[in-house]
Amino acid sequence: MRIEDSKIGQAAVVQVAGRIDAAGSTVFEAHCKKLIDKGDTTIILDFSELEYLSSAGLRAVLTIAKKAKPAGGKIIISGLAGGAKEIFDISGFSSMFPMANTLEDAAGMVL
Amino acid sequence: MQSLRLPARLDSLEQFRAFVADTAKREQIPSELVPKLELVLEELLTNLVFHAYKGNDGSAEVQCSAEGGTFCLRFVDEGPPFDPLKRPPPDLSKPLEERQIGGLGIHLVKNMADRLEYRRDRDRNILTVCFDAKEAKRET
Repeated sequence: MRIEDSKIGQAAVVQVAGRIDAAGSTVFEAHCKKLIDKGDTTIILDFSELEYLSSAGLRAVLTIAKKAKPAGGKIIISGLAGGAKEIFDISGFSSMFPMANTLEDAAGMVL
Repeated sequence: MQSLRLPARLDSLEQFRAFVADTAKREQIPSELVPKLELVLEELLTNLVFHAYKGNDGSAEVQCSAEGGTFCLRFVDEGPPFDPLKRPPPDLSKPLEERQIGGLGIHLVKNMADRLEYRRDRDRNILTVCFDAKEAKRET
């Protein structure tokens, strides 16, 4: 799993490439929680390079969103495809989060 | 039938994963199925570590078998009786604020597998998860 940070306007972009499994999910969650603590409460999760996601990863996304929302922010999911998208769909997460196909679309959902 | 027994810990996942992937390859299982096998493996191992053994020491055995176009993973452990299939399903319609953190792993396993069976045999939990390996299913 590789995590890279960037920014689009006011939103933080966290690109996660590779696998979010039981081990990776704790690292991913801690990374995003730190961003929220620093004031980056609106986060675009760029999952376009994500190859694998388990329920541990779903739990991390949910935990991050539950922390961002009361702080006035939100989590936007971008570029999700393939098996990881299927996991989101099966779990009802696709209807719980704003979903964008591209980072451009995601940037338009920030406000 | 191939089998591998390791300590029931999260850090055994890599070895189990390699074992299942190698066996699936040797049995010429369609490659689209492998990510599903990996997911089911992770979900059931984490379930075992956190719910059956509850952090106590124990071991887990994973068996792989391929027969007549079906590939099965069997999980055997010596933890207290625990049927993961009996866990209540998560409420998928709840909004973010009310969504519970747990229960999703088994929900995913039930969706990925074509057949699931739990039985208690003396002091062992035996969970068998089978996949139709003739062609990829649920491709979108």
